[in-house]
Amino acid sequence: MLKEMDYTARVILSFFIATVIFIVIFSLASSAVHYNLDLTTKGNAHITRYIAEIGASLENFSCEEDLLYEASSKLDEVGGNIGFLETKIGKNDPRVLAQKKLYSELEFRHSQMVDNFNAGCGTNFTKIFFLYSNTDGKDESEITGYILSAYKRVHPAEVMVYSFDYNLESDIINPIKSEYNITNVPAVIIRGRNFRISNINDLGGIVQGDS
Amino acid sequence: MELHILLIYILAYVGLFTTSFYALSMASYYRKKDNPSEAEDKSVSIVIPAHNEEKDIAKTIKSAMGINYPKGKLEVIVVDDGSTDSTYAIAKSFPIAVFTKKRGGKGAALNYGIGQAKNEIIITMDADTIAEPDAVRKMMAHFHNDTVVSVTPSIGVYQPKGLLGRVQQIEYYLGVFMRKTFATVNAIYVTPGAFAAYRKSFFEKHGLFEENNITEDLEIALRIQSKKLAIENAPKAVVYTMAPEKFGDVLIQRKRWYVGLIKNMWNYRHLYGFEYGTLGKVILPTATISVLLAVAIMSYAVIRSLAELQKDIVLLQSINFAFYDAFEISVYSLQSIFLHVFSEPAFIFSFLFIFIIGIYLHFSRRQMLYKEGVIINFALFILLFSLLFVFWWILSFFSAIFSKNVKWRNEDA
Repeated sequence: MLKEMDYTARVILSFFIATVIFIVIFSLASSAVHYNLDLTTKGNAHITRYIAEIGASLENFSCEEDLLYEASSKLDEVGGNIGFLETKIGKNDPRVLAQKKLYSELEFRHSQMVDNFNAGCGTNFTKIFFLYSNTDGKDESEITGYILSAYKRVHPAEVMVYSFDYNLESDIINPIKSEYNITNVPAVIIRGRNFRISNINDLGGIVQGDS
Repeated sequence: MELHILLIYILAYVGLFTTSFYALSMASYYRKKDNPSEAEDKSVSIVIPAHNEEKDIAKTIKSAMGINYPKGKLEVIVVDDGSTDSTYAIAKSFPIAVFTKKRGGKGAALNYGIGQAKNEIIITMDADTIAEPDAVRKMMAHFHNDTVVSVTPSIGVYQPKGLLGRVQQIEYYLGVFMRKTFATVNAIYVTPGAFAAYRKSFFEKHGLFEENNITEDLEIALRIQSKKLAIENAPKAVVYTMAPEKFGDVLIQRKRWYVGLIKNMWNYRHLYGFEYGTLGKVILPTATISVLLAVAIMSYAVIRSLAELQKDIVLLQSINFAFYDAFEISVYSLQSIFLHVFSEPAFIFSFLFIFIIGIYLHFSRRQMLYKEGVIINFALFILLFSLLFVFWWILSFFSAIFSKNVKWRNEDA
């Protein structure tokens, strides 16, 4: 009888320990996701400050190109974080959507700064708008995004890439869709023209002005 | 939630429960029980069945003869099971009892040897096994308990070489821990063919080894359990087996083990349930669930990885297979990897279980006084074992379901 009690106690205690560890692990994982959400919020705030600084720099005709790169790099980081949050929390989570809309707005403002830089500081960045989809055309969007990321890594001083979710209801994205008459994705807009890209060589040719 | 993720979480929970249960059982065992050390009062017959073992038989016989036990209480018997090589001649050159018979399989050879044995304890020893000199004394101490009819030792891989040898070394070490844990709740369900001790009276009362069973060592253990008798483990009694190292040889061995396990478990399915203590209530059900879930999850993971690989190739093709600094290390990339890993419970569970396996390994090495480093072998085990395990199991399931003939080893047509 004593042995049987020992056994029962062991089973109950084992279930208890397993449950506690299970909950702790899920809490840890959840903390990591929330930390990422926090990083995204902070990242967007950071970019906002960068853009303000770039604006001030342009007003003072000081043309601080490094600010532009730093903001661009931060945009890439936050873009990555948002993609991660979409898979972890969900694409339709209000917190993710809010950050994504803000991010799209910041991307657009950064692109305007690039225009101003090119006009006032003698730089020649090629601005690329990339409209992607996580639903229809997802695989093709993924390939195009992969090509654009790879190209930007090799030519950071040549191109500025801005990615927009085609399906996001946004005051920034809707006008872009109308302006360039985009009805399906992925779409890559370079110098006002809409391209479809399937290889990095195609992109190189377009950016260099061969197409 | 996707089905495979749900299955991973169920497997993880079962793993956490069993690990906690093992740890508590082990702790209560060491706290409550007198742990016997050594004894030499029982008379022992070591039976070594051999079929075409000319490569290893001399080493095994020397090892059996070198066992530190009172001479009048130890006999060594070799049963040559119709070898076509020089196994018999080699065995005859030693001053031990050597018999030869027509080929009948390992079970038949063992039974023949048991029939010739004069002593009260029978140790069955594979012809490719090396025992430490004090192994038998340490095992005999457990026979002071009258309910114990069998005692198992710790088994390691003898001089592991090659990838598969190294992976198996770690697997055997884990077996050492598991066997001790199972013994604490009398739930050992395999008495290893390589080396195990039995009371001769058990064979006289309940019958000899099943001669047509491909895993007669498993069947005898299940039979002992079904008679509600005890199987003990002496972790400090150390023996080494020469594990196969060629892929095909390992596959044949595993298929035999796993098909034997499926068939014997089916035959002894009455052991599942409340009548047979912890074995039926916890050990067998959790082991069965774990194997089924692991095979399902790993099969899915392999299929999905292949699909992802195809996708990755398309992606790489789009950038002409040039990585363009894609793996550049930065604070952001490290932070990103960290967050990706630690936001996924399945990854955290994996790290936790690797850590737990490390603790099992540490226990086993301490018991076996093994001092050489095993870090590389452990890494190989973590990387490869789950894949091999699933591959062996899938083939075994097919063999069991479609009743394919399972060979004892490569030479058996």
